[in-house]
Amino acid sequence: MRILQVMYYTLLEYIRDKQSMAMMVLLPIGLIFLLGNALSGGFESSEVRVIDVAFLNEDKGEISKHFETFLESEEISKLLNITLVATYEEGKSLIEERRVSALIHIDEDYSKQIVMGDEAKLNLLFTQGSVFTQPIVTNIVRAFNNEANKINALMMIGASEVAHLGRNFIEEEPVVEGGEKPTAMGYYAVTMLVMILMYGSMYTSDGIGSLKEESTGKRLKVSPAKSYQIFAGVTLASLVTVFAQGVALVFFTKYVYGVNWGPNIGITLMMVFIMVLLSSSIGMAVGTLIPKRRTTEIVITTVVPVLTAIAGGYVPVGNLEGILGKLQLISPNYHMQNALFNHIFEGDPVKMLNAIMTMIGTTILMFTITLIARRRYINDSI
Amino acid sequence: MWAPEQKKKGAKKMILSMKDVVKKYDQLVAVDNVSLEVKEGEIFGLLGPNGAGKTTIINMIIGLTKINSGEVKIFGLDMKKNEKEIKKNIGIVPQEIAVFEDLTAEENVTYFGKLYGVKRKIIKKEVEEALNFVGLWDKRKIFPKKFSGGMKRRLNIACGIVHKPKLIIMDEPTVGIDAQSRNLILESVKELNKKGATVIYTSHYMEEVEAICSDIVIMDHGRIMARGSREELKALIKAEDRVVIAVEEVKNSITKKIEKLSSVIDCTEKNNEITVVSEKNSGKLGKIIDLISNEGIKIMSVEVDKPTLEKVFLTLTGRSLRD
Ligand SMILES: Nc1ncnc2c1ncn2[C@@H]1O[C@H](COP(=O)(O)OP(=O)(O)OP(=O)(O)O)[C@@H](O)[C@H]1O
Ligand SMILES: [Mg+2]
Repeated sequence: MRILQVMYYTLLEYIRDKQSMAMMVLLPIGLIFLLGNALSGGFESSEVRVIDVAFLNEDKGEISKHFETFLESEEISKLLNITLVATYEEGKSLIEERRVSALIHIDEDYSKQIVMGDEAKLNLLFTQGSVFTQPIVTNIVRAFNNEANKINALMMIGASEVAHLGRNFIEEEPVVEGGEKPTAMGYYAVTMLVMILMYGSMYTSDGIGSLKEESTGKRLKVSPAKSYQIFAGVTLASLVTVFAQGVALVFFTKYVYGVNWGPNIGITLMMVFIMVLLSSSIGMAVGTLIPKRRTTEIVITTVVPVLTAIAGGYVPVGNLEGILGKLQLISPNYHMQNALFNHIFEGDPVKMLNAIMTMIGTTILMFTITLIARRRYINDSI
Repeated sequence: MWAPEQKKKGAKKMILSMKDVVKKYDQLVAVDNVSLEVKEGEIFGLLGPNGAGKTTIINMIIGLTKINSGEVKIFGLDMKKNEKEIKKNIGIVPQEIAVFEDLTAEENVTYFGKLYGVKRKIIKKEVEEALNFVGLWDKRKIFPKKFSGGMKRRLNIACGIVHKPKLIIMDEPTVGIDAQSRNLILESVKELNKKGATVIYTSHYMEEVEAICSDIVIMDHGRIMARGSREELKALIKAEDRVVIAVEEVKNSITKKIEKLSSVIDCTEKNNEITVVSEKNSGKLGKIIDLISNEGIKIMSVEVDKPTLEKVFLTLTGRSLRD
């Protein structure tokens, strides 16, 4: 009974959390459209033009450091050539002399604003008539800004890269052996669904974090409800929420975008459910193992884009070799995508089953880790 | 559930007993060998400045913090063995406001009511009663994020009392709110106590504890500095009684006559106010009044100057409570 009570009221909270809802439902809907449609063929030339950009970071906080790392990353350096400037004037004169096409300026309160929960902005200054470069730079910057406000950056990077690669790339490569070829839209519907489900692990880890850190969590803890009941209630609420979001995404893309979700929607949804179990169990383990709630957030928002990228979520990568190939096998996204693709495009049923078994096995592993870690945690506090 | 029947029997049941309880955070001894007892029907005041160890004591009572040594018994039971039984009968109003921002006032109170085992049939009624009690029934559909600080504090209380607990623990429930809300809360504490609940009330406001608590422990740096009933504590510093009598007109060298009474130490007059200082508990007030009236002097008012707990604290620790 108490499990259901905790679950019910936690669910109410989650449903009313509009920001997370938007991120989990509206964002992928937009991204699937963007990646699968609007951007493909947008740039016919496969030649990537490097854009010269000036960069001024006056931020006193930590968050902009991530932006610097981000700019130095391989993907970005393929697109942008960064010149560091020390003052705004210096950047401006570079623009006026047309030695750079844009100035990215982070002002001194950027981190502070984000930490305070205010909307923080990176300022952009362009040379006149930079019709071509403007959207790319804006896109990259906005991508990062979104991540700082919890939405991940690499998706957008993926977006610009895909833009250069064009839609044909996807359609030429079947994602499953012997099966049908997905459309770009169909491909991204699957990978973005998987990515969002992985982000869903944050509901669980955050729920557990709030039990540990929030005053309400302590209040629940001193109530007659047993700690396993509270834990289970909160976890189940996350599970239901993320599953509902996944189902919503499947139906929306099926009926609005006309995405093919396979010969048997029931099986597809069952797979979604297994994936939600997996991502929730990951969230559970992360939330239990890592003491600080904020750290769990950072870990998940950092790791999920990597797992997505390596599984070919942004740009199809096929089966990678060597170390990357091993990493790919660790990525839950890879197995999730495999299961779905093999079902939807009627590929190899053995591969599909293998992927499902891997997911179930990992879920059990995560659950076991959680139980062990919880015992330790409970003994520590009370 | 408040078990008022036991009250009538006379023998007061022990609600809480702590024996030689110690809590350390690394080097810091947050609670240093504290022993205390709370009996049924009391409003027990735990008074002390910031960092005295009040919240730590409460957390140890309700099982949120492990104790290093010592023993805690609630309703005569051990928390480890009778967790559910004990928890069901405690209502906690934490210092830090603990309500869900995304649940309405009513949902918050219902949630905690259900967790504390209020039966489905009566939950609506009990929630209404609790919200009415703190004056928030009209605002039941509103989310706490839209509440003022005082309203949040009151909701915080409603969540802790909806299940009509035997023991209500309130940790500084009036921090950071205006005088009106504060009085409302103090009144409601008395009201809850009248209905049969035992209350443990922490504060660093002297006036509050003085106004509502029957028994008081004063602590500082994790140690108990003084304990006793309100009167006993005041008596600690009260070496003499002081009475101020306002009269219509001073005449017949009345002050000299009063001064001659045994156990009167001093008698002075200023602006038709006679101040009499006498030995502690000498019970001379009646005699003094008679004397004045017999001289045909009209008495306008009599005021007994009460020492406050503030003074007690000052005497005990050598510093003022809120520094
Ligand atoms: N989790 C903790 N870790 C380390 N020290 C702590 C912890 N909790 C409390 N303390 C310390 O224990 C001492 C007592 O703190 P406590 O919160 O019990 O005081 P308090 O009387 O409730 O004060 P206040 O009136 O400010 O609420 C303080 O010195 C505090 O810094
Ligand atoms: Mg405190």
